[in-house]
Amino acid sequence: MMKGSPQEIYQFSSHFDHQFLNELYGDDMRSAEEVFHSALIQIDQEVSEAEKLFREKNFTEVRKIFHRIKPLFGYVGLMEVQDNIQQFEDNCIHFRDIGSLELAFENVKTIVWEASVKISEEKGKLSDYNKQRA
Amino acid sequence: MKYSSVIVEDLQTAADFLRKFCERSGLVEVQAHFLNAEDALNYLSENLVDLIFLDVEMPGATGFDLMDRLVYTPQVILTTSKTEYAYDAFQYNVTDYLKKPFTYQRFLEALQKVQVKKEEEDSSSERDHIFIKSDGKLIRLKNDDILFIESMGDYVKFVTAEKKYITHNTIKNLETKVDPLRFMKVHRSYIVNLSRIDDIQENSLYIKGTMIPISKAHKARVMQKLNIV
Repeated sequence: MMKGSPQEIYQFSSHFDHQFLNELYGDDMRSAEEVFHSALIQIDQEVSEAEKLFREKNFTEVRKIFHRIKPLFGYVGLMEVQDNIQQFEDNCIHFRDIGSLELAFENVKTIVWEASVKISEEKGKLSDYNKQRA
Repeated sequence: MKYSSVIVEDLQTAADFLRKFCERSGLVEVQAHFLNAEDALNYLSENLVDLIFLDVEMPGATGFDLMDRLVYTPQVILTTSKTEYAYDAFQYNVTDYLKKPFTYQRFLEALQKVQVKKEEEDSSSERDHIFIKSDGKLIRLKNDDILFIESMGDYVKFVTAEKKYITHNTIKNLETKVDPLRFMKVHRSYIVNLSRIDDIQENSLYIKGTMIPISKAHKARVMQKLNIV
């Protein structure tokens, strides 16, 4: 099949739950690109806000922010990140000491950062794919 | 007929998906989207909807707080990313519980549950009241208390023994909303509560001293409905 021909089906990278994404977006890769794009922006903004709130020790609001952005990782097919965030949410409620929560916070930020890299790369792939079809 | 609905959801992406799914189904009309429960409550205190897509955790009040404060009971589909709310959802008798993110197929399954519940409610004897919007608020009127409904152009007047309520609506629209076993259109300008008719003379009927015309087109059906021995 020729590259860029209308019949070519987009293949999500292996990090992503492509079965779920195919169900969610069908062949509407423009919507997928938009969602990947907006997810990246929102995740970046919300994690910055969470860092500020964490420094203020406002752990209730930190948890709420992660709760809000959790489904975004589902909409981009990174289901396991949702589980990691849920774990962090639980930590925010049941933490033993600040040190352990700080560790959990750094850990979840790393997971989110790594996920953002994958989302960004996939968004680039989606953008190229959509440009070929424009 | 489409279900009227609102989306109460603080994640824009989730709300966008819901709106798309509603449009794609052709079964649900989204009247508004709110990012928090308070704004939704303000809207719902003045507007009736069939269905609410409701997130649980939002800034300020929760989705459960919203359900506690609603003056009427539309169907609710909870949309949340936390499975722990399932028990509470059951306690609140919500129609379905969707864990975000969900597919269009799962959304359709939820709509089927809405349809089943609606059919159950419609055939239930518990449907003994209606809500009307009057003086900027929603007022519950028991079917038993309504004597008749009279057209006033773009408005209608609900007449009870105690009071009259004027609301923006039409007889044509109300004809499909009131309990058909209890109410009947007898004239293009009147719907009457059949159980409150005192007497009938020629082409008029009387309820608490008020004369209400019966049109030729409706008279045969009115006589059929009444328990004439």
